[in-house]
Amino acid sequence: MFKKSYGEQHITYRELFKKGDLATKLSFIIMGSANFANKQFVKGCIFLAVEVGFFAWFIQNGIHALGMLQTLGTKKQGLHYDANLGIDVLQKGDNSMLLLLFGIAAILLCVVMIVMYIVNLRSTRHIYEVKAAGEPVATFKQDMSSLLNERFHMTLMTIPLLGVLFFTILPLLYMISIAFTNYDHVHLPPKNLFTWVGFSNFGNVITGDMASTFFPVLSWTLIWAVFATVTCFFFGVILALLINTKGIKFKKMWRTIFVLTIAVPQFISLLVMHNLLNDAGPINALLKNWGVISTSIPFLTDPTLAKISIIVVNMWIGIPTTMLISTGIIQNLDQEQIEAAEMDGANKLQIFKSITFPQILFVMMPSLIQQFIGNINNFNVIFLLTGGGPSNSNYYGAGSTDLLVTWLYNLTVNTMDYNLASVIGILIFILSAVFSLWAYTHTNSYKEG
Amino acid sequence: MEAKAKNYKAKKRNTRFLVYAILTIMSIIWLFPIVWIVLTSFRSEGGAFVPYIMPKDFTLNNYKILLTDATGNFPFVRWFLNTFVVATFSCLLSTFITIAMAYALSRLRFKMRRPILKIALVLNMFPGFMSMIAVYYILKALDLTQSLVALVLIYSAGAALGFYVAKGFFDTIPMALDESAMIDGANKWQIFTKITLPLSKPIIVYTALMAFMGPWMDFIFAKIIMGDDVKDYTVAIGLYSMMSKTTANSLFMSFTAGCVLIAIPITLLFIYMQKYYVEGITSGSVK
Amino acid sequence: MKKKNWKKLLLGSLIVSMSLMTLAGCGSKSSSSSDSKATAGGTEMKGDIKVWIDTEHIAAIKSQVKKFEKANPKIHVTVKSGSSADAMKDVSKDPEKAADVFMMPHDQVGQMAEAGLLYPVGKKNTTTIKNENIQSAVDGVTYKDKVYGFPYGIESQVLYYNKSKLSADDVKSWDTLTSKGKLGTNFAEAGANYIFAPLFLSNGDQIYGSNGEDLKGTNINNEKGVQVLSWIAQQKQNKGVVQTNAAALSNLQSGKIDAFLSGPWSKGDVKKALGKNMAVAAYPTVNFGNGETQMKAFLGVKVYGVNQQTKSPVASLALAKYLSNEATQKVEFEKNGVVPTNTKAQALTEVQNDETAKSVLEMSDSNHTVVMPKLPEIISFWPPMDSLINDTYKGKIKSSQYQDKLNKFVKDTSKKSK
Repeated sequence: MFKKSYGEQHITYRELFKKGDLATKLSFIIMGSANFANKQFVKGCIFLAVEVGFFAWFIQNGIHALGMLQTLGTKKQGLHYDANLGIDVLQKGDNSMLLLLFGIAAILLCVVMIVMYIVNLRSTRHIYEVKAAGEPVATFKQDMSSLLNERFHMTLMTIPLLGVLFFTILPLLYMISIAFTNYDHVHLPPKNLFTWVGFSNFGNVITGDMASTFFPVLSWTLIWAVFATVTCFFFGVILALLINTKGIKFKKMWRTIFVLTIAVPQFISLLVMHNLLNDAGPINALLKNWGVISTSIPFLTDPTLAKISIIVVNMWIGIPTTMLISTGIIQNLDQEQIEAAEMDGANKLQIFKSITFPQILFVMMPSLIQQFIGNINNFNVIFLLTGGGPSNSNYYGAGSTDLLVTWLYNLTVNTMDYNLASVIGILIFILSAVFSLWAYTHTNSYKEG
Repeated sequence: MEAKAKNYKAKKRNTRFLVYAILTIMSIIWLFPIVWIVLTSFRSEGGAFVPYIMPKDFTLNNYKILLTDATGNFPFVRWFLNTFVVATFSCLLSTFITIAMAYALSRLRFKMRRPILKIALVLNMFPGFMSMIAVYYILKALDLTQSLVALVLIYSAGAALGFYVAKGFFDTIPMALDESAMIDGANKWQIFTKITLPLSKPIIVYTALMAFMGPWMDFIFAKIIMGDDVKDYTVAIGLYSMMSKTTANSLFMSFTAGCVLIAIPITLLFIYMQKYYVEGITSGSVK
Repeated sequence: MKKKNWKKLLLGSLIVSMSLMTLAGCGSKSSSSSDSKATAGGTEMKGDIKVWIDTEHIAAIKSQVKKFEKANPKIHVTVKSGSSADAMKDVSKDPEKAADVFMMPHDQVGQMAEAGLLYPVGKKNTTTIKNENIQSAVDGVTYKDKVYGFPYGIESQVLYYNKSKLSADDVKSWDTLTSKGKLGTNFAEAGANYIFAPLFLSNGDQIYGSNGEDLKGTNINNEKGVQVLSWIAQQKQNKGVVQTNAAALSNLQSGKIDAFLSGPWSKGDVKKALGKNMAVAAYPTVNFGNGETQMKAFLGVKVYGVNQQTKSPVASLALAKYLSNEATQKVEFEKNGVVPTNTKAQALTEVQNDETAKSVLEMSDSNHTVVMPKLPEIISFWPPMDSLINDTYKGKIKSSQYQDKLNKFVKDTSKKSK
């Protein structure tokens, strides 16, 4: 239907405005005019409704929301004595937090509006070009059917992307903005206002008092992410190989035993592990009863041991997943290749090293990268197992096992320093984004996509 | 020659024995915490900490407390149904959204495709905690807080960015299939529904499985949205709320009973579906 | 003809949407005016109010709420479970949707008052509170000379012990207590701050001044502070001190420890663990090197706060007052063992006959306890105090570093963030 007969060369919008008829010109002010003029009523109505709706909102709320973004509020909440009641009565003030959030929402809405405006102009130009070429303008039915064909991606993606815009990008922009304000425990809304402070929070985290916490926590985060990913992967593969050893019976039973642990929700297994590993927990009690040890092993209360415990517990959680996946890969391996290698006198280790393992690694690479990023942001394991403890007198608001992400959580929930937390959030993001963009551009799955 | 073969056989038997031994030990380690949860859920004495593993007295009381909601503060059955409803709906919606996104980004060609791929990759990397409060207020502006609808919405909205595995899968379906269908006059909608989807059962099941399991596990985000509305909690928030400082000791056994109750259906589901789980993850990368 | 058609349509839809817009504008205006009316409606004793109660207190409070509703038929009260320890967090998340009245610990008073989350109780209520409650409870709810809540209970750590192992004389001093029996307590894990920060006060130092509101009032970086740290480090060698935290109760039951420090909230659990051997005493004396002095604890006040954003302030204040009056305090004591703040309720015979309550009351004077500081900065006090005590006990901080660590601590916790 719509072969690209109008080519890639479109006329500019300026030309369009000059050459177009009244309806076309009107489209620059009143969206959808050209559509109305050419009987695309549904389309026209949508454009018009969007414009009217937008301006209605803009005049009513939008201007205020955008204006307030500059100062984040000026009127403080206060209490005024009411003689009739004999008590103070609340006088509402500005809430900086909401002003910031809705200010950003207003910007996004404006962006959506601009996009719609451009779509409107394009539609106008399209009509103009079609008419200039002497062809009939698309009917509503034709438009609809193009949504299932040329523009099928719009049909599929519009709603999900709107969801992303308002439930991911908007909160994200809000979070990033907070890093540039003084929203901390002395500027808590609703009573107090906070305002823009520029880059000073970044300075505090990287060079100021927080630096002595930030860098050790960062390095532990990286160590943890590497160990957690590597151990789970490596031992998972070994477990899969063990189960798939020739001659081992009840393969399915073994697998099911380990799969059980994937199915138990993490917060349960971690809380239980916390209990088991406690100084007074069953494991210590058991070892004491057997006479293996005389004093409890401080699994979770000694800084070094706690770190080891965390990695081991994480193996308990992570190994079965890798096992399951690599089993799938091993079963699909090219048996001929392996047999050929055996014929050539390669032993098991050599086969593993040069055939099985590279193949597994190749397939699992994307998921390994994802796991690594996931581990940098692995909140559950630390939060539920040690809560960041044992405490460390050298840190600000963090314990010995806190990752950046749990430290961030502490800063928001316990000390309510949202601005610092946000800076850390941004730093975590830069860290993982750089790594993953680098990794993905170096793996096959991205190149082909 | 014969001796060598015998030797070889013995060696093989030895390795097999060794493998069995390792597997048995590992199984014990892996099953120990699970068995402990189950045992504790039947324990009648003590609190969160007892210095032994086998309970001294067995009881069904812990289950009874949960299922009859004896205290009036922990309506477990209601939580279970809530979670089931949320999981079902968000499973349907998320699967649809994920598959739609993945398909569009894998099979269709349009201008914004590459940028969207990159942006989506990066967007996934922000730690969510800071944005939770923001999301709460966005939901509040829509007048949706403290409702199961809000949970479904949140879980499904997140699905739009979790398309990477499914995209990998679609990438493996040969383009030639689409092209021949196109020559036969099919439009893209028809190709999607008639050709691609029937081929994609593993990835659809995988996506659905993951989406279904999510609501059973999430406790922090869900708690912020549900606030004090105990009746509409999901099991994860509910069980976690039982572990607050003042109640952790006295309710510990009921907590483990609750864990057993939610672990059973999920475990069965997972064991039943594990084939798809493996296919889902691996198929995307095997070219 | 055709052209006119589309123009008409365009014009028509414009008019329609314009009128819709004005309607919407009116709509929003009228809603805002009804808002202000709602506030005015708060003058009468009526309204729908929501109250957050700790789960285990709900049963006791519900009966009292019923009585309150009967006395004030125009007020409807919804009781929901809410964790008092998280009051600050939960109310600040969304004050508009939070409860109108909620349970909270008094050390959040300063922070919540600064954030504009708490309703000052007003002159009349202030007088009532001052007349009916003990001084330390009044101190707990007062911040910058204004009263921000209704006290209904006091908490202080006491010493629970097994009287088959230790006599009442044994537990009078830390040294005899730990030489004759084993004291299970927590020096090495999170939570040590609450139990052992008052050691500095026992030795004569101050934390945030005498009233707990002076940011510059911490002076533990002196000779006495160093003595306290050395004493904490010595306890690691003390055979009578067993490091135990979560497992204290099970250790008490199994006889691994004979005594432990905890608050009235543990009464029921200790009873279960020790049965008739349970005994309670006030804190022992302790020797930092300059003779025996009384070991001190923090005094916590349990408070009903009223949300500043409440739509019906009068009714909410009335409910909070009712839930903290003598009758309710009596019920709370009977059902949940909450030690009353109301002087009349304290005088009740059942309170006086209860060993735990008596010990808490004994602890509640200024010789035994200091009202926990309540200025907003207290939140950045707890974590470093925890690690200071933990690391000292574990020997991670050498004795030569004590002074420096204390200096840094005081500097960090006295800093007003801009």
